[in-house]
Amino acid sequence: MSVLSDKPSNRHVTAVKFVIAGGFGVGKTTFVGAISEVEPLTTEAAMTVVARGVDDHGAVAGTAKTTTTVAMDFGRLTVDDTLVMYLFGAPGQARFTFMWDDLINGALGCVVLVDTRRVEDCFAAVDYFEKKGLPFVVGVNCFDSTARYPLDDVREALGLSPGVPVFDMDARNKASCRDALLVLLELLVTRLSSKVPS
Amino acid sequence: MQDTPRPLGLIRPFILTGGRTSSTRSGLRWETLVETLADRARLAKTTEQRTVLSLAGRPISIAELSAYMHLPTQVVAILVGDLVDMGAIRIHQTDPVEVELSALTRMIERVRAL
Repeated sequence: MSVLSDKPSNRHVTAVKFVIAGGFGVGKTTFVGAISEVEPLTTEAAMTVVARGVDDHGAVAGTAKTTTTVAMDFGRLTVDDTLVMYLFGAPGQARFTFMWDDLINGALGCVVLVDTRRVEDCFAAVDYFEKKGLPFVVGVNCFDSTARYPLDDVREALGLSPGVPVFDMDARNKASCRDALLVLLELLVTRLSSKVPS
Repeated sequence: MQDTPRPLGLIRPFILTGGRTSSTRSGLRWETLVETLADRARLAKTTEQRTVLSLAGRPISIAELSAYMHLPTQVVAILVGDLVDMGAIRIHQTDPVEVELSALTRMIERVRAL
């Protein structure tokens, strides 16, 4: 529930959106929960999907139009009386591309969480954000059982531009999530500052 | 987090919208804030409209309304669009290109304090 001041007024309140993208089980909800001032909420986006005619197993299937919903966890962080941040956890795999236009519409930037056991889960998201010019940073989530990959290898595997920050993180650790979001915010500051004519 | 799309439940939420699947306010985003205008809560004609106006006593996002009302974001956007047309609610929407350095600085300070 809103924690902004009680009385309706003429004040304009700005809401900004950030996206935390990544494959299944990579820690998106944990990340959202680490930043959010409330327990992460779940919203459902309903969408009409035209089946591409090929199913998951590569077999040709009939073309069908179906309505499905995708549940997304999100959180909120109130900055002050006139500024609120929202963080949405979003699936990064290719089969969710149909919802990304809505997802990034209005978004300031994205943290892509990479699980080095399934780097391919975020290929589609990275390609899409690059194509759309959405600023993003890449957090390589370190699980206990996984070998650490040199960040340069991850950068190469994802085909990232030199300007995209890549760093190790642990989504189970609140401070680590905070630092990842700060990397994104600093990137936005850099971008905005470079746009200002000197 | 549920990563698998699934069919809508037995009660089709778009019945609440008279079958419409798009809002009169197509620019509404998930994070767009809405706020009930003073003394306009009485304008509600349906239970869902009443719920929206009651939850939006303070600025609240489309996504939060969706979560609290257990309705898809698109259905909430349609309900909100109707309430805007009725003069019961107002929209706080900011074009992301208008987010200034000072706002980013405030966000950084807030996040650092976590």
